[in-house]
Amino acid sequence: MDYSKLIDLYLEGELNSVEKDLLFKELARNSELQEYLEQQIQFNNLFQKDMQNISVPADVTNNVYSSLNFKIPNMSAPKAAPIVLTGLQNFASRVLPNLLSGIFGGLVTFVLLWLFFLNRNQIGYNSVMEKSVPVGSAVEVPKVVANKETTTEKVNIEKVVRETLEKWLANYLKSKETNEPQQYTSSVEQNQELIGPTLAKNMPLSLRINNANNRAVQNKLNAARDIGLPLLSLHQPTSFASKLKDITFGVRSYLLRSEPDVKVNLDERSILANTGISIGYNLGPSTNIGFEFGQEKFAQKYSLTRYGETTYYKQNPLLFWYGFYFQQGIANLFRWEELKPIARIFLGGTPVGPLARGSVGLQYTPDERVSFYLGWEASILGYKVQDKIYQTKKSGLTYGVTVKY
Amino acid sequence: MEKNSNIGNLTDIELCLALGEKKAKAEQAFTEIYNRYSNSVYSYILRTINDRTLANDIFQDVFLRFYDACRNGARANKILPYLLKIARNLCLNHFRNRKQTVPFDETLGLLKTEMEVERNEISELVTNALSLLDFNLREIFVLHHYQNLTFNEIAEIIGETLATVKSRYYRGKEKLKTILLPYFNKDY
Repeated sequence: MDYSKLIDLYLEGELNSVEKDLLFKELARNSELQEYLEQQIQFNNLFQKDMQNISVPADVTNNVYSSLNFKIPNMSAPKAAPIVLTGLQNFASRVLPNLLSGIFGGLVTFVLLWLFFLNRNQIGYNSVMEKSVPVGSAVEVPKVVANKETTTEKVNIEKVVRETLEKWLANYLKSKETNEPQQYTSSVEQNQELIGPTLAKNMPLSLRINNANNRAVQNKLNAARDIGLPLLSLHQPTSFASKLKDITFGVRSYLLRSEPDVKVNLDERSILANTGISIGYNLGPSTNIGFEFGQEKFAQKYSLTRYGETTYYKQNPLLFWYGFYFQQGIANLFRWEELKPIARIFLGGTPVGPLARGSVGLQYTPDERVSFYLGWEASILGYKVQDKIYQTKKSGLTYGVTVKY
Repeated sequence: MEKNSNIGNLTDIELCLALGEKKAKAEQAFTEIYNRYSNSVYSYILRTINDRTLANDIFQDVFLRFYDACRNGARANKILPYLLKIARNLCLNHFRNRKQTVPFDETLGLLKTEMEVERNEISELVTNALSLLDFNLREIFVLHHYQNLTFNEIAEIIGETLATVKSRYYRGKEKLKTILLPYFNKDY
């Protein structure tokens, strides 16, 4: 008896009970027949799966309704489940991962910044500035003195320091009026100059040490400022409002040539296309880190081998990208202080694979709150198709603007 | 809400009658019919002619003709077979007029994510396999597997005897098995 025919009939619901019994008895002992049944079920499932993937395109539905002068149907109507389901599936597969990764990236940025602030307040003072007096601060001095000296001396030293700083301030304002460069030190020598050698000598040892430290710290600050290095551990404690001043928002665009160059999907557009939006933090006058996201077309050429045949595909999809960047500039390299060269690296991802970018260019800062950037950028996207890694390389001009609070 | 739930409970013949009434009621009835059967009609056309652009055109035409027919007094006890008959005639017209080979669906070439690749693999596999069948065998297979229509219902739609329908169905199925079974180690 041809049991495979019986299986076909059974799956079509055309088997009587006698034939069913015969079939099941044979199935119980015949492994080849079991395998055949499994194949037949897979065969039927294939078409059911295909059916599930088919739905009427929204524009076709719109055309039908428009032709009849009907209102475009509300897709959330109870009977529109298949269409709604397709929409939800699209949302889940395309928009949701991007949205979640965006939120995740934002959270990571926030946590990094938060840790940075925390560390700055705790570690900064315990290490580098453990025994120093903050430059220009009159508040910390009495505390240091009070640990070591008598009350009378404390009052005297307070008076000395207050007078010193008042004189320094007066001197500073005067120099500002005459546009003279301000000497920003508070060394013993400076004190001697301002308040005389006797008073300076009468200063307690701790204050002198502090002043010496201040000088060392100040030298470091000046040196670091000169070459534009990050001043992470040398920052002074600041209020929340002043911390906001270090947060930057940037928008940039780019004109990049692509390798491979693919001229398809040219009608796919988006507001964010070829635009990067970033939120960053100034670690120093020339150093910035942050999170950036945007949309860009990445041309792709790849091959798929299926059923023994290799097919070559090309596409130019508009992909959402996101990641973190680090930007470093070199201050005072040119005669014009507003202009400085900067370099930026970016590491991130897209829904199809990882993305890396690098750029060099010039930053022009006419105002402390606004910077313009023009540079050359190169990027590389990696993606995998059937265990094969492919790349999309892009390079070209990039330009943008960054604003601060 | 009350109106919508009433419309949802109507039988096919009642919906046909509602299409002949005032515009607001006709619009509600049309939406109900569209929600019930549009995917079935679309999948039949798409898998029978294997050309998405043409399928979109024929699909729109089917529903416009159906609406016009009902407004002019046509009645159907079962709407899906009626819609499929219109669709079939339009597909046959297309084959008679064009006499050309079935083009490969271009949108299948545009892959973005791994999930889409997998979905498109199934779609492409099925499309290619079905395109190797004659129209007579293909349409019966599609009607049976995609619309879950019985052989009797199919016989009624295509105007052939039950024996012919069964014979064509099994011939088509055997041919498809020959084409597709070698790929079944891929966990479809």
